Amino acid sequence: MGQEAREVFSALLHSILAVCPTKLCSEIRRVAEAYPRFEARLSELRVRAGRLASLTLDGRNVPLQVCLSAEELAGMVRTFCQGSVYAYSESLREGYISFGGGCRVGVAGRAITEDGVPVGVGEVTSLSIRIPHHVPGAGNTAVSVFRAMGCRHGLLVYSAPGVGKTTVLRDMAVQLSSGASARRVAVIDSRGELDGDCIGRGCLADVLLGYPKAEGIEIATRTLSPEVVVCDEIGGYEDAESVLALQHCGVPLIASAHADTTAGLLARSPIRLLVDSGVFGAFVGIFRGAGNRYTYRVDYHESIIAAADQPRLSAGG
Amino acid sequence: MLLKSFGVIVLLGMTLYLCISFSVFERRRMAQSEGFLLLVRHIKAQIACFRLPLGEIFHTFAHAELERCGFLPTLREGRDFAAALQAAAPAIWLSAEESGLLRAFAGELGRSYREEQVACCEYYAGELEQAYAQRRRDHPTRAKLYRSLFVTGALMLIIILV
Repeated sequence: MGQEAREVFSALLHSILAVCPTKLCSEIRRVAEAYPRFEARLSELRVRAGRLASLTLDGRNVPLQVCLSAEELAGMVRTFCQGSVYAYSESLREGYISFGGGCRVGVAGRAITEDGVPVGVGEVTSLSIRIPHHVPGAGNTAVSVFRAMGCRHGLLVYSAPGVGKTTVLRDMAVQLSSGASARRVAVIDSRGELDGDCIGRGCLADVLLGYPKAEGIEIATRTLSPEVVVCDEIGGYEDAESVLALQHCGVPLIASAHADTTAGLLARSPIRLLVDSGVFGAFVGIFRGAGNRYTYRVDYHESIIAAADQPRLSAGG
Repeated sequence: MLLKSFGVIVLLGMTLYLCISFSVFERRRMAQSEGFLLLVRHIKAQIACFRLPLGEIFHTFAHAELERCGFLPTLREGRDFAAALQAAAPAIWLSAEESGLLRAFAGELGRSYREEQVACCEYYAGELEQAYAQRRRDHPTRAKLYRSLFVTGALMLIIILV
C-alpha cells in the first residue's frame, strides 16, 4: 500500500473505530497489537447481537472476545447513518449502509415487510463492516488484458464474494483514468464502494455515486461521453438490458460479477445473455492463492463460448 | 423629604425596569416557542423533500432566538438534538409541556424510516403549534397581569414610604 493510500485507510479505520463501542475498540486494538501489518491485512469487521464479534484478516476469521447487545448494534447503525436513519432507508432496504471512503456496512436483521416486500430492517442482529483497500497493481493483469484488446471490448471480473473484485475494479479505474494515456472513465458506484478516496486523487474518473446501475449506465453514456464504463456487481436482467444498450453505443464495459468459475458465471441467465451478445471480450477470474496473493485466470470470449457450447453439443449428439 | 423623593424615584425606576424585563422575557419565550415550531417544520420539510441527514438540516436553519439561547450553535457543533436541548436548558424558558414535547421529539428524531419520521415531525409540529397558539392567546393577559402587579406593588411601597 502506498503512503497516500495508507493514510486514507488509516483515517477510515479510525472513523470506523469511532463508531464502535469502547469494549469492541479495546479488543480490536488488542488483536491489532498481536498481528503485524494489521491494517493492511484487515478486510472486515463483523459484529453480532449477543454473539462474538470477529475480524477477517488475510481471509481468515479471527473471533474477538466481545459480544455486543442489540441496543449497541442499533446505536452503531444510527451513527453509521449520521443519526438520520431515514436518509439511508433506500440502502437499508437493500441491506447495507455506505459509510463513505468506499466502506460498506452490511446490515442483517428482522425484515419489515409490506405485502411480502421488504421495506426495512428492524432489530439489527449483525453488521458486516467491509473495509476497502486500494491495492496498487491489483488490476494490472486485467488492465493488460483490456489494453491487449485495444480497449474496445468489455471485460468481466469474477470471483467468489470477498476475494477482491471491487479492489481490482477500483485499481483498474485508477490505472485507466490516469497517466499519459488517461481515458474518460465513468464509474457507476451504486453502493459507494468503488469511489474510495483513493480514486478521487490524481485520476480523471467521473463518478456517479448512488445511482442504480441501469440508470447510472444510461446517464453516463448520455451525458458524460465516457470511453470506458466501470460498474460493480452486475447480475440482474435490468442491468443486462442497460449493458446491451451501452454496447450499441460502442462504449466498453468493465464490470464484476459473483461466481467462482466460468461455468458458474454462465449459469446466471442475465450474465449468459451478455456473454452470448458478445458484450465481454475477456473474463478475468480472481482467486486467493498461497500467502493470500492474488492469482488470475484469463479466458477470452471465444473459449468461454466454446466451453459453454460443449455440454449442449454432447447433449444434442 | 429629599430622601423620600429619591426613594420614590428609585421605586418607580425599579418598577419600570421590572416591567420592561418581564415584557422582554415573555417576548423571548414566545420567540423560542416559535423558533422550535419552525425548526420542527423545517426538519419535516427537509426530510420529506430531500432526505438530508440531520447535520445538514441543522446547518440550513437559522433563527435569531435559538441562536441567542445557544441551542442552534450546539446543534451545529455536531451534538444531537437531545444533547443540544440539555446544553442550552438554562437559557430555554419554555413551559413544561413544550419542553416535554421537545424531549420526546428528540428521542424519536433520526431513528425511523422516512414516512414514519415525517409523520412524527407532523405530530410534534401540531402539538407545538397548539402550545404556541395558547401562549399567543395568553400573552396580552399575562403582560397586563405583570404590569398591574408591579405598578400596584410600587404604589403600595410609595404610599408606605410617604
